[in-house]
Amino acid sequence: MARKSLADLYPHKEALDEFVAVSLVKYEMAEEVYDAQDDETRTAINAIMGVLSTYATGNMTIKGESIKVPDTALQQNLLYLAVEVVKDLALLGIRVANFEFPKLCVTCGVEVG
Amino acid sequence: MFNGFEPEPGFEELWQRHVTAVIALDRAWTQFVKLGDKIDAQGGGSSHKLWPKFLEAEKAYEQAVRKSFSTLDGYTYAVAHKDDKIGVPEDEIRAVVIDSLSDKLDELEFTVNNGLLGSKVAQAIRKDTSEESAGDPPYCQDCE
Repeated sequence: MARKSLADLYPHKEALDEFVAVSLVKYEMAEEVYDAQDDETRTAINAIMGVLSTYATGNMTIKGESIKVPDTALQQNLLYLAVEVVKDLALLGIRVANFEFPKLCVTCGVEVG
Repeated sequence: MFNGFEPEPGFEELWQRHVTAVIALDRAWTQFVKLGDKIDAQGGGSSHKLWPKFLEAEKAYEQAVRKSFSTLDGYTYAVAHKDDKIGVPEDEIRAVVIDSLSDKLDELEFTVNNGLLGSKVAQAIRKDTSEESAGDPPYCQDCE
């Protein structure tokens, strides 16, 4: 009789692990932008995070199934989304508070001299 | 009148409107008092032939008082808010927010659709937005 592998027991584990790993990378990119802002801009970013938190279910969809996301990864994603919204607005000429682009490439996040 | 008062630069026209209103108020008051004194001097009351004019002058005076205060309010409000940012229309913010979120939500689930989520975010930050430039977005050599 064939034994069940870990992947059979947790079919979404790999996708979830990848999501968590990507969340950390996104968080590090977002944190760098967040830290470069003044208090007023951070407050606005926090307000966006607040809205996203209110409506986030805390789950993600993997292969059609709704899976609980670790809270840390969720918060990391929400900060990333909030910062990206502010960045995208700035790219289109709408400035949120005193937002300033940090010295990071807006496309790939590499430090720009 | 108001000698020595320098209105805030850029708001001279608003201040001048107030000065004009105060001059009109002064005239209205003079006219009102003059008619009242005349009626009094002739021992008259509401039966005096100038009474209807006196009532008209009273109304004109009340109107002039209101205008004087409203023009002063207009000036002080404009000066107090001269550095306020002009918010960007919510529709414009919402459209960008929806696009931004649609691209990046990945598999995360929300209890509302992207449109409504975008609206809520736009409402939350509208008062903090302006059409100022945040500077040129930096690009690395590879992405340029």
